[in-house]
Amino acid sequence: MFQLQEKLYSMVNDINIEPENYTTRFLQGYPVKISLKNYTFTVLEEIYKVLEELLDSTNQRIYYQFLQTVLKELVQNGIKACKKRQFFKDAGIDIEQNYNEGIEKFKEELSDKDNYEKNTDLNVEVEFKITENKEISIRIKNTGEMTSQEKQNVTFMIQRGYEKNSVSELLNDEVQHKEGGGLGLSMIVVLMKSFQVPVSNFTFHSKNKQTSFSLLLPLK
Amino acid sequence: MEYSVKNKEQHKIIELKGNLDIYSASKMKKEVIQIIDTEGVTSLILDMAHVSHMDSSGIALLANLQKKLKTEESKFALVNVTGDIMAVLKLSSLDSFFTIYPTENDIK
Repeated sequence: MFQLQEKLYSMVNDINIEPENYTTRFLQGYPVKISLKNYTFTVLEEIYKVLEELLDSTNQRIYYQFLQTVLKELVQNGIKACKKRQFFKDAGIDIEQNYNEGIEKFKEELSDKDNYEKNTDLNVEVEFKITENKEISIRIKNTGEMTSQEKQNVTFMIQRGYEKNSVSELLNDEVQHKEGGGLGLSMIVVLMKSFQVPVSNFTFHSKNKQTSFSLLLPLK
Repeated sequence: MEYSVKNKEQHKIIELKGNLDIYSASKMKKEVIQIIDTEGVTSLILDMAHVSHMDSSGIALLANLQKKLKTEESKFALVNVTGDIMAVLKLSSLDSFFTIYPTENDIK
């Protein structure tokens, strides 16, 4: 009975953090993995707590506010990617062939958060690790491979970040008309520059039915 | 996201409550623009006291509202920005991009 209760608790728990003694293992060079079954700001706050402990353990508190922003944007993007794929599948729209047709309908669904979160198989993972080169590695991974259109959009938004020197420049850019139009990715790159982190330390990969965004931060 | 509207002298103050994010930003934009267009707003102030969380979609919304009002020679400002919201604005150096009043009493 106790085992069943424990299993039920685990199933309804929105977040799973491994390993249990994550701060100790992090300092030993092992990855800390956080997998999400649901996304709420409560879940995000739990991720922030882990982040805070890991940064404090390495005296890198200076990155905390910046990484809160990074995590918020990239975790949301990962969740949105899963939701998008579910939407296209349910609507019977080919995500590669008819992306533009489906994306407008998907954006309308976004405003009805409760409705469009139903029946979505979420698989988003956040990983923190200290690399052999003594950098903090943050990686956000989600199931689903990017379409060619999505790769183009992401590349464009990251490139905008390379070209601008402040978030206000991004906002004044004529391209930035729409909410959710990739400002988050451009912002991350601009903020990296303000922390003297090489912009090449922000990368993304999408293949083998998986997508990940990675950030490397030199220890200060 | 919920909101209420009140007037203070020549200012229209919209008190926001909830999260200003990817889920709420689009709908909020339509509703606020409708208020601006139908009520002839010359000064719009968003009261952020009860905004719990804001992401880049929320930031983009604020910027778009500021841009729209500026083209109409109207004013835009924020008030009661505290905690995490102010931290994000400061991190992005947007605390000088927007006009921000500490409290309602400071509104000019």
